[in-house]
Amino acid sequence: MADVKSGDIVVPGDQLCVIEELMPSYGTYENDGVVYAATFGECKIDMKERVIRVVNPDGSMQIALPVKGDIMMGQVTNAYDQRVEVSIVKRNGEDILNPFIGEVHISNVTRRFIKSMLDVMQPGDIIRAVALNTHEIPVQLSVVGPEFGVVFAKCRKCGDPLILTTHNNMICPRCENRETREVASDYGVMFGLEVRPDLAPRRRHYRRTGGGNSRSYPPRGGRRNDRPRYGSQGRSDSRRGGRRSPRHDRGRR
Amino acid sequence: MSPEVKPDFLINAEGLRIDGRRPDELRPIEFKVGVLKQADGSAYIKQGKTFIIAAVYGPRELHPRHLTLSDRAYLRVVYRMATFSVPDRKKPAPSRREREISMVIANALKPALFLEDFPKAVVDIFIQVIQADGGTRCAAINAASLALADAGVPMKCLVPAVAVGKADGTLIVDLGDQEDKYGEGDVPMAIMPLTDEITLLQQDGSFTREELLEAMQMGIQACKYIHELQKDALMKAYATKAPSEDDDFDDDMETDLGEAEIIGEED
Repeated sequence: MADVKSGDIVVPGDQLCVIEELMPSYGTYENDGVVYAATFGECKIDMKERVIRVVNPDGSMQIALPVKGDIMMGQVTNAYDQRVEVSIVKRNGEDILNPFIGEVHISNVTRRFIKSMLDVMQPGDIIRAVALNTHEIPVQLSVVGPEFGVVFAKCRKCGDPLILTTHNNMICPRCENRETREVASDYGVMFGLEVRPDLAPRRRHYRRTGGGNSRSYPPRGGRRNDRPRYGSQGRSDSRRGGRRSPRHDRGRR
Repeated sequence: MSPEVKPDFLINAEGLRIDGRRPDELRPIEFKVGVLKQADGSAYIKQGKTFIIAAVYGPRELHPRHLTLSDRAYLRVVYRMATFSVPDRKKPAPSRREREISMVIANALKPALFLEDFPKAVVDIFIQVIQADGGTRCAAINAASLALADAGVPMKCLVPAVAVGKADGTLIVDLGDQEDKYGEGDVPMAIMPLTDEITLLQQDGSFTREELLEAMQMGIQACKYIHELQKDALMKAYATKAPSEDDDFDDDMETDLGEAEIIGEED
C-alpha cells in the first residue's frame, strides 16, 4: 500500500503513493504516476473514495481561500440587474486577512422568481452567504436558505438602518421609506434592530364581491416594491383594472 | 562602528576560514515557521549573523487589476533590507539591487509553485532583511519557500539555496560578508531537491570550468542538507500546532462525562 498512512505529517515534495493506489486530491499532485504532497500537513486517506489529501489536523485546508460550503460575510459593493458584488470580510465567523470579492448571481438568491437583483440587495447591505466554489477568485456565493441573506440594510433615501416588518419587507423608521430585501432569519439581531410587524404595509380587507379578482391595495406613495407582486405587473394588470373598477365603485356605494 | 579592514587572509594555514569553518561547512542555520500572526504564512532564518523574515500573503486578489494573469497567479516578491541591517546605514529607498534580487528570488521560486491553480490571484512574498552578513539572497529563498509552505500554497517541493564561492583559491560553501567582499567570486544557487533541477544559478567573479562544476556539486550537497533542516522546521511547526487542539478537546470530554454523573448521583 501507500508509502504513508493516515495521520502522517508530510512536507511538500514527499512521495505519498502511486496513482493506481489513491487519487490525488487537495494538497497533493501527481507526476509521472507518482503522487506527491504539495502542501505541508497531515495525510488523510479516504479508502471509500480512494482519495488522498493533505490537510490541517482539524481537516481544513491551510490555504487562505474559501472552500465550498464556507459561510462568508461581506458588504455589497455593487448591485446590478443580474448580480451583486460583495466585498467579503469574514469566513466561517473569523475575520479574513485578505478581503476579496464575491459574487451573488440572481439564480442563487432564492428558489422563487425575482425580477431584479436590486429588489433583493442594494449596495451597502451586509449579507451572509455560502461559498459555491473552491479556491477561486471571485468566489460565487449563494444566499438560498433561511440563514443566508441580508443581515443589515440601510435606507436608500436617508441612510438610517431599515427595520424588518414582515417577510422581506423593510421600512425606514425615520423617513417611512419602504424597501424590500432578501433577508436572513436573524436580520438586524447583531445590530439590535427589532422586527416590527405592526409597521407592515396594511392591506384593505377583502371584498368578496367579484369572483376571485377582488384583491386591491390602498395606494401608498407609489412605491412599487411595497406590494407583493401577483402575476406580471404593467399592461395585463391595467387592462384587468379597467374591467374591475366599475364593480368596485358599485361595492363602495 | 569602526571601518572594516580587509583581512590578511581568508583561509588560514590550517585550511580554516576566518570564522573558523572548514571550506565545506555551513554556518549554523536556524529556521522557524509561523512567526507572524497577520501573515498567511511566515518564517524566519538565522544563518550565522544573517537574519531574515519572510511573509506570504495570499493567494489573494491582485491590485492593481491590470497586472492579473488570466491563466495563473502572479508572484510578487518584495525583498527589502532594513536601514540598520548593514554597518553603513542603508538608504531606505528601494534600490536597484533590491529590485533585482526580488526578481531573482521570484524566478527561483516560480518553478516550484503551482501558480496555474489560482488564475487572477496574486501570491505576495515580503522579505525583510533585519541583519545582513552575506548570502542574503539565498537565505531569503530558504525562508520564503518555508513561508510559502506555511501559507499552504501548493508547491512541488521546498527550494533550498546556498552560495558557493572562492577565497584564496579554495572553494568555500556559504559565504560570509567578508568572504563575499574580498573573495574571488561567488555562485549563488537554488535547487529543487526532488528532481535536482536548478532554479537559480548566478555567478560573480571568475571560475574555471572545473572549479564551477565542483562548486555546483558542493552547492547541491549543501542545499540537500538545508532541505533537511527546512523539513525539520516544518515538522516542528506542525507539532506545536497539533497537540494544543487535541488537549482542549480531551478536557471538554472528561469534564462533561465525569462530573455531570457525580453531581446527578449526589442529588
